[in-house]
Amino acid sequence: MVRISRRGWLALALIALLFLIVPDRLKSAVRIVRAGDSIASALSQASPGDTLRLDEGEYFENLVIEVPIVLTGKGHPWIRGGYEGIVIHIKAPGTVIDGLRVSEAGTRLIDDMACILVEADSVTIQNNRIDESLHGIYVKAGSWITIHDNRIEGRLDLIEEDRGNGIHLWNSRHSRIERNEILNTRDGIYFSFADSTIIRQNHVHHVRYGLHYMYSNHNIFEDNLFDENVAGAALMYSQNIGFYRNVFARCRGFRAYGILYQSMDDTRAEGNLILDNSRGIFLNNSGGNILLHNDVVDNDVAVQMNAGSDANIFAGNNFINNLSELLLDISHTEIVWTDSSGGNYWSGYDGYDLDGDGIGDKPYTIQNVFQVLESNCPEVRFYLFSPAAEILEAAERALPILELGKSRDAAPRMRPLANHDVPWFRVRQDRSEMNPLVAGAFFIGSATPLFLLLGLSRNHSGKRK
Amino acid sequence: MSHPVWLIAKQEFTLNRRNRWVISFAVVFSVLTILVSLLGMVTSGYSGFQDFVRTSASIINLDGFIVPLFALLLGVFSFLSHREHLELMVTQPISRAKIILGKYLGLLLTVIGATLLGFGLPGIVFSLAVGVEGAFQYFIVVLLALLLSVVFTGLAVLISLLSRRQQIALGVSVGLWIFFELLYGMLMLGTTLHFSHATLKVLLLAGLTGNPVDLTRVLSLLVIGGPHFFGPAGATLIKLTGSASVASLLGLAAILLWIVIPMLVSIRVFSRQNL
Repeated sequence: MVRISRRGWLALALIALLFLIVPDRLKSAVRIVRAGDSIASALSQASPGDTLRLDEGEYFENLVIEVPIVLTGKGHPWIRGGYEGIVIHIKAPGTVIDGLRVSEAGTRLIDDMACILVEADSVTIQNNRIDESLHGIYVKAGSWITIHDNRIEGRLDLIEEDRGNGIHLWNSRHSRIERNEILNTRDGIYFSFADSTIIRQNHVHHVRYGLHYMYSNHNIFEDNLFDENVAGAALMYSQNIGFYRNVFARCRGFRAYGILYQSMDDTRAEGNLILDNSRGIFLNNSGGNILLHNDVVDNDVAVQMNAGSDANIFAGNNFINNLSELLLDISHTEIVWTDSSGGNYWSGYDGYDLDGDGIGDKPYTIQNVFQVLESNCPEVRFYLFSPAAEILEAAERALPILELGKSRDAAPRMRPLANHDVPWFRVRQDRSEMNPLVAGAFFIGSATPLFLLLGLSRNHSGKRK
Repeated sequence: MSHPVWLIAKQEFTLNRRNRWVISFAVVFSVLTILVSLLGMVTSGYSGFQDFVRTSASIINLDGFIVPLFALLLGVFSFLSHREHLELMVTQPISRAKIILGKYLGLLLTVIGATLLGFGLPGIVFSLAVGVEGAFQYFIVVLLALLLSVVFTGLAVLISLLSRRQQIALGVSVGLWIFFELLYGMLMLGTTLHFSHATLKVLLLAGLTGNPVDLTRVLSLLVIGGPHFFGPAGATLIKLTGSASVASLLGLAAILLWIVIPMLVSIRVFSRQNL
């Protein structure tokens, strides 16, 4: 016989009480909405915690959700707003929107029209397909929002200024945005006054700014892929942002940047890949930013810095195959190119390392004479690649007295650093595996003319006989 | 076809074709082109990210060096080593303009043939190795290299006519080559130290038309990389000319002037020359 103490009885009673309460919670109904029925009337009958399960099909409705419910369905039930107003307007905290297709928001940006407008806390929006959107998902003064695994597509028939943003956060805290794909909108993810947010593993492409930050502090974004945008990330007027292991690739055009810093202070960037942009990293009036262990590859200009950008730290980065490494609009900018572990790797560095510690024995002058001329007069770029420019650069190397550039990396690396965090795997293409084949074709190709020459001369001497 | 200009051209072409230098040039050129692009791809790890712009930039640089030199040397050699032949031809009942046009055309055929051969092989290799996606860009590079060779063939004819003796002509053509390759660019870069930015904008842009080598390089890069390849300078270009295509057409027109004017001067000089 097991004796149960008084305290034990109390605990059992509490558990029993829980069982009495919880079924009441679980009693919340699952309501099925058939294709052709009105979701709105189902909504009006729903009590908090209910699940509305939509049948596959089309629903021409603009919904306002004022009770916390779960709105879901199989096969992406299609809610169409008919290009009028807001398609789903969420006013109840705790609402979940799961697995729908939401389309056709109205086109008045000034009225915050969106496929999904959130004006409540703790809302979850997941696994949805959103297209023909103005704003895709607009969070207006809501915190603890979770937005994940959605695909948001903007309207190509509108000009860029008339489109909305993929995900727009205003006055929001502690939100998470994960694994979404966003394309053809104005900005991919737009933040203003949105603090302490985590943005992870999203793919944003073919938009204006992949990430657009205004007055938003203490955010973290990691493992995102931003490619073929006007700018990968345009960060403005914010502090204390950390971004890790993102890719900013293939932003090309006059106003194209991998990452643009405008009045940004004290941010930290590590393990990012900045690849094949017109300008890789652009800083304007931004100070105290730290960039460590990033790979900056194949950009026309690796780093451009304008007035007011002081005390930024670049260390342990690989700068590889950039046409120009540094453009400054003023010569007296204070940049730190080394930290306690050493400087950066520069593919343009041609120094030597006699003591074999992996760090070049002579400092690397980052701006060569051509880049200094170009900083003074951009039109000099027409003579980029010209023999005269090459000679000038060679002369500068041979006669260091010519050195005009003032920015120096005191401890340039001899070899590229193994920045393991840099997510190259996200942009590698199958073609890279063709390498031996390519090399073989080239080898045969360059040997053929030689054989041709030999053959020709043989014929010739043969004739003479 | 038995038009005298064509007959002379054919004869000139046959003479040049027998010249071992011509085929050697084509071979050396194609080997260099292949090696340059291979090196470019190896050093960049050929990751497949790099667009064609940078590889073609090295090819453009290479042909910017070699094509003018080849056209100049071949032109001067063939014009002045068969000097007696030229004198003999003048005794025939054909106008001097036709003679000079014929010789020019023959030279052109040779130079263009050799250049095409020099580009053709690498072209085949490229398409085997990396597919045909860069074909249009490559075509542009080849086209502009051909125009460059036409310009310098014309200049070679003019130099030969003016200097008459082979040694002098060779000296002048090498001098001209160095001027266009190096000195001109140095002069242009030098101007940046002396003028205001407003003047420089126009000066550097207009200065491009003064040098066919720079002109073809910038045109190729403009067509392949787009105006934004030049950054703010590209914006200046668009502001001054209206659009990238207008700018390209203006550039082409300048190249055509570089072809036509030396030709007209050559005809005039030769017609009045006392042999």
